[in-house]
Amino acid sequence: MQCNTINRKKLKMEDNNDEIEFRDIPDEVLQHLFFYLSPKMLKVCTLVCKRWNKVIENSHELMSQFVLNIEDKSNFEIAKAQKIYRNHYSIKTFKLTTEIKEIIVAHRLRHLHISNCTLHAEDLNECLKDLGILESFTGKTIKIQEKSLLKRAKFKRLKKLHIDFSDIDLILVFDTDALDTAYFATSSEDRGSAVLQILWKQVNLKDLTIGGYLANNFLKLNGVCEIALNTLERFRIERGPNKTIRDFLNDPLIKFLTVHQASLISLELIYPVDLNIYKFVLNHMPNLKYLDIPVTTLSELKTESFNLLERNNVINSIRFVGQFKNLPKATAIVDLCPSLTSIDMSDLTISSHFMLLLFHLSQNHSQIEVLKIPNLLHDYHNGIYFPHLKEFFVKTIPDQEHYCKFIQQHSKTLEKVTIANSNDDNFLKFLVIEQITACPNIKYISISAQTSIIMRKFNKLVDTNHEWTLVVNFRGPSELKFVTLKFNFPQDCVIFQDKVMVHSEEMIRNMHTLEDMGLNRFVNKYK
Amino acid sequence: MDIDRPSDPQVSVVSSDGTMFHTTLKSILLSGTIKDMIEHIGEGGVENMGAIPLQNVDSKTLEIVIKWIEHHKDNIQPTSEEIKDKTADFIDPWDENFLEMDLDKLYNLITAANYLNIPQLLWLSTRKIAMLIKNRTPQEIRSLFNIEDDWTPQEIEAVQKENQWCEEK
Repeated sequence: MQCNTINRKKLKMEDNNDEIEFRDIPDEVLQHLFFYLSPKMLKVCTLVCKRWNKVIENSHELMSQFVLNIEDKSNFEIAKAQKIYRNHYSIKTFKLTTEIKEIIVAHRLRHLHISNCTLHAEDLNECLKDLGILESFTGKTIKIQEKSLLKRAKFKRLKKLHIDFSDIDLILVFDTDALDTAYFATSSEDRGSAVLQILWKQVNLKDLTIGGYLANNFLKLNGVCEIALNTLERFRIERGPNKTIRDFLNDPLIKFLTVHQASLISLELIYPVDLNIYKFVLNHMPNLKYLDIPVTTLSELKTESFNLLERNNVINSIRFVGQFKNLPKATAIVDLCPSLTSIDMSDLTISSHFMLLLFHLSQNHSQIEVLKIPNLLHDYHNGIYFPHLKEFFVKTIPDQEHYCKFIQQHSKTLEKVTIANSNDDNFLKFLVIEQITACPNIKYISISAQTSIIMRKFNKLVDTNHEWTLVVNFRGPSELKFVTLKFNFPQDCVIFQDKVMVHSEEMIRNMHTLEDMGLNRFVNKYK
Repeated sequence: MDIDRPSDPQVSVVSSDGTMFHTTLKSILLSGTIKDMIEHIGEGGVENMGAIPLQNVDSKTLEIVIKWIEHHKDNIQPTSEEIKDKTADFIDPWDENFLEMDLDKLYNLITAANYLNIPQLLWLSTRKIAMLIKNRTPQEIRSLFNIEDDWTPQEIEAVQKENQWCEEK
C-alpha cells in the first residue's frame, strides 16, 4: 500500500497552527486503521458515520473479510433475502442466480459459503462463471439437480475447498491446482473418482480430510496411492468407515501413508484402526509429530501385541479421542513415545483409571509441557507433578482444592491456563484463578463462566509483575460473549464486585463490554 | 573510516512553524518522502544541502517523529506489504511506550507519518487508534473522536439490516 499519497487539502496545516482533528485524517489512512479491526468491529464502524461507511464499503480488501452466507434451512430454497450485502441491491426472490453472482463479483468476495440448499446445476454454473478470484469455498449439505449439466470452471486462487456432506459432483466444478486445505465429506459413496480427479492436480496441498461416506471407499479407489501429494502435512479420516469394511482399508491406508511418509507431520484417524497401522506409523513415519489415537482402538487391541511395536522418538504430541476404557494399553502407547511433550486427554472420561494414567505420565514423562484433561478426581494424588508444565487445559473444575494445589505446585513453569467449560454454578474456582494469577510466568488465562458469577466473585487479583492476558468467556442470559482483558500488574488493580475499579486507559477501554452487559457502575479509582 | 567525512552526516529539517531540528542522514532516510528528495539531489549533495523544509509538520510533531526515527535508524524497516502481512502483531515495548500520547498528538503524528511516508510509524500509530476503537459502540466511537452522527434513523436501520447478511470469515 502506498503511504505517500497525501491529500494536502485534508491536512489543513495552516500558519495559525490549527489543531488536526480526527476528521482531517485522510481516507487512505483511515483505511489502514480499519485493517487492524475484526470483521465484527468493521460492522460497528460502518454505523459511526457516512464517511466511515463509505471508506469500508469502497475497500475491496476490507470487504473481502466478509463471507457471503447464503442459507435457508426451512425450504431448501434461497428465497428469503430481501437485501443482500452492502450495496443496496434489492432482490425479492431468487435462486442461486446471476443476481447473487453480480453481488459477489461486484464486491470481489473471495470467500463463499453456501449451506443447506438444493441448487440447480445451471444456476451454480452461472454463479461461478466469473468468480475466478474465489479463495475459499465452503459447501455444506448441498444437493445438486441436473448434475450432468455442471460445468467446470477455473479457480486459480482457490486455496481452501470444504465440501461437507454434499453431492460429490460439487467437487467437479472446481478446476484448481492451488489448494492448500481440502475437506471432502460426501453424502453418497459413488464416484469417489471425482475427488481423485481434483487431488491429482494439487501441488501445494498441506491438509487433507476425508469424511462422510467417502471414508468408506476413498482409500480403495484405483489410483489413490499413485497420487503423490508431496506437500501433504496433515491427513485426517473423519467420521470413519463402517465397521464391516475397516479391515479392507488397512493395506491401502499403509500404502497411502508410505507414499506420504516423508511429508506427513500430523495424522488423525478418528476410527479404530488395526495394530499394523500403529506399527507402521511408529516405525516408518520419520517426521510424524502429532498423532490422534481413538481409544476404541486401544480397547480392541490385545495388550501383548504392544510388544511388537517399536519406540518412536519423533512423535511429541498425542491426543486421545473418545471414551476411555482401557488403561494398560494407553500407558503402553504413551511409553512408546519417550519424546512426548504434549498430551491431550480432554476427550476422555474421568475415572480412577484416568488418574492412574495421569500418575503414570507424571512418573515416566516428566518432560511434558502441555497437558489437557477433562478434570481431576477427588482422590487426587499429590504425586502428580510435571516439572516442565507450561500449558494446562482443564474442562471443568468441580472442586477447587485440588486445582489450587495443582496450580501452586506448577506455579513456576505455568504460562498458559485454560478452564474451558466451567458453566456449573460453582464460584469456588475463583480461588483457583487467584492461584493462577499468582504464577510468576503466567501469560494467558482463559476461563468461561456465567457472568453473574464472575461479577460477584472475582474479588481481587493478586499482584504480579508481569503482563498477562485474561480471556473470559462471559455467558450472558442469551448469548456467549467474549472479552479480553489485559492487565498490567502491579499498575492496574482490578476489583470485581458490584463495581470495577481501574486506573488505566487500557482497562477502561476493555471494560465497555462489561458495561454493555449490565455492569453500569465502574469507578475510575486512581484518576 | 574517513574521519573528515562521517558515515552518518548531520541533516537539518525545518518545521512548518520555523523551528530547525538536527538529526542524522540515516535516521531521516526512514522517511520515504525525504529519501526521494535526497536521491534526487544525489549523495554528494547531502553535506552542502541546506535545511529541508517540511511545511506540513509542526515543531511539536516533528520532535516526536525525530525521536522515533532516531531510535529506529538501525533497524531494518519492513515494507508496507510486509507490515500488512503481520497478523500476530508484536509491538516493541519501546514503541508501545512511545505511543502513549493524547489523541491530538496522535492525529498529528499520523498525518505527519503519512506525509513523510514512514510506513512503520504510520501503521503503529493507526494501530493505536484501532485499539481504541475495539469493543466500543458506534456512539462511543463518535464521542471519542468527536465525529458527527450524520445518519438519519432510517438510513442507519438500512445499514444494520444489510449488515445482517454478511458474516465474519
